[in-house]
Amino acid sequence: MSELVWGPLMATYLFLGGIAGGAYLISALVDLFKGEDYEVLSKSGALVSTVAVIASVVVLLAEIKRFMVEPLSFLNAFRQFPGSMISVGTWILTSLLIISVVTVILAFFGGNWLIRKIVDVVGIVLSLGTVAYTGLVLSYCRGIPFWGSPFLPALFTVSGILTGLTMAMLMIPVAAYIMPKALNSFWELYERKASYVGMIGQTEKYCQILTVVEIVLLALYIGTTPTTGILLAGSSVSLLFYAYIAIGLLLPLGIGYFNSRLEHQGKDMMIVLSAMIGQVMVLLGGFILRYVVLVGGQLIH
Amino acid sequence: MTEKISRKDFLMAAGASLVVAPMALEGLDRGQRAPVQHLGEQKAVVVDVTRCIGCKACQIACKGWNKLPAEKTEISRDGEFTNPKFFSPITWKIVRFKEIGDYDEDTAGTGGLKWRMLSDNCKHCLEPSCVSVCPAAALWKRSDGPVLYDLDRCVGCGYCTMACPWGVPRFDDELHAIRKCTMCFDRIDQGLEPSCVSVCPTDALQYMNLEEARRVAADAEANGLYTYGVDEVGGTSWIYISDVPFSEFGLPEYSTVTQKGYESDILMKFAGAGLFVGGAILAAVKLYAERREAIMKNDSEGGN
Repeated sequence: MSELVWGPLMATYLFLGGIAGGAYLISALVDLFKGEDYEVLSKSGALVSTVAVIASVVVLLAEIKRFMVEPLSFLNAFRQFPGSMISVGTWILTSLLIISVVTVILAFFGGNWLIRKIVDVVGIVLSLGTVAYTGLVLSYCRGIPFWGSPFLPALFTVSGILTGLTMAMLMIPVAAYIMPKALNSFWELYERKASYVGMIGQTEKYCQILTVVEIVLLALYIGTTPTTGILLAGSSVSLLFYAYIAIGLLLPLGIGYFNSRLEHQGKDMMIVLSAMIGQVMVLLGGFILRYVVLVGGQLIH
Repeated sequence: MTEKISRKDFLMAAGASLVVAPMALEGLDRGQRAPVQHLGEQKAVVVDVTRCIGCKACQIACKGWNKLPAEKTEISRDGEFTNPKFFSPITWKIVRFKEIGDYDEDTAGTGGLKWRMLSDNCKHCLEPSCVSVCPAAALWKRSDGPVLYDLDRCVGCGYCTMACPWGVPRFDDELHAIRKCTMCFDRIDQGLEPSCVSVCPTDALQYMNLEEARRVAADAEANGLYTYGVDEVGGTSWIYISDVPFSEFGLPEYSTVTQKGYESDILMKFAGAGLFVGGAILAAVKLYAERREAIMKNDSEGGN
């Protein structure tokens, strides 16, 4: 192919889409199955999801060249549901945006218990669809053999959930500041430091599980896709690939292990800070993964 | 205050969602464009590489009929004669040049070497990937062969370019839409051959019915020649015949599976992997939760 058809903006779109789906999934699961100690995480997840969906759509529209001259032409992307994966994604992201906004409104003003739970369940389906879509949309591209593995959407799905959870954790103080009800529950939680640090510790364990699964899926993806050489032999893309493994997978695992050793030693501030560093690394790794796959696939056939 | 949900409530909510979702989707205008009905059988073009002399008349004729401007090109230093090398919004036809064989000292380079040229463009697949993936229904396959597109419907997402097995559709920055070979449908409608076929001096390009084209390909295969487009991605309306493998021209190998079949295959395998991975994650989380509960129980008993 002569030039990149999809560039860094598309990678950003897929990255933000993954965060949006993952954050909402975590938000809904926490709301359904966890106690009030995790309420602030649920609200943070809903807020992150809303912002990420909006940001992803803005980035997508910036990537789509025709939008700049004929904005309404983009509405045509809704037409081929469910035949075209981009059409499916357009519908899913739009629906997820609506559900995320409704969830944030319910978090602000409260709401009927049953309505909240129904919104959660519909949101879970949409959020899983969103994270899967970010990988499937690439896998369906037959002209790019590098993307032609069913483990690519699986990898993006797990990575999306991981980055969504991570971003939701990272944004808890912001969510607490923006949403007064969450703020109250955050300060209540923070005052009971043991609970707050405990939540960090527990979510880190979930992140570790997801990271291990991501490593396994990455190995399966590399093993099943043709033209793997691009990732392994010394090009700029392969350097980025190794950066993803180090920054996005191995270092966060190490930090999680380091934090688990600090538990019950009264070093709460260190746990909070190192957890945040690990979260930023996971997010950076998530973006690099999408960039490497997107650009690498187009460069090598 | 967050209430915990019971299993029964969760199932009720899930059931309600499953009822509501299909109702919401009911009545959507899916924008599925019915193929334009066109009398006559499917048309096809057979490209015989063994007859091509590389004159590029087809490339020029394509530019002329479709009023496509010239493209600034460069002479390659690596002995590459394909020029331009890639499809673009204004270059729908490329003649691929390939020097095949090894230099032979004894025959001063003439014995082991041969030139082969392949006149390449949109293959007009029988079940086109570009049509299948386009979110805007901007592309469609006409019943007599050509894969066409609607400039006004294109959203410029580039999905057709990525999904096309040969990366044919190209976005035009001036028209804000993709463009590609149309198989000269406007000539076909007048009972004429595509412009590239009409100017070929050696009959390397021949216009005929698809059925006949497939018979010609079968005869060529029986004579030990290679063919391309009979089976690939479910078959195409442009069928190639050559005495050298098509991999020499950089044409990828594809199975007979169509785009829809390919998508189904990916989706089924992904679903299988998803169930397995999802199960593994849930099992790991459950194990972790049980272990944590046991540790907390031990701690509280120790504390007491």
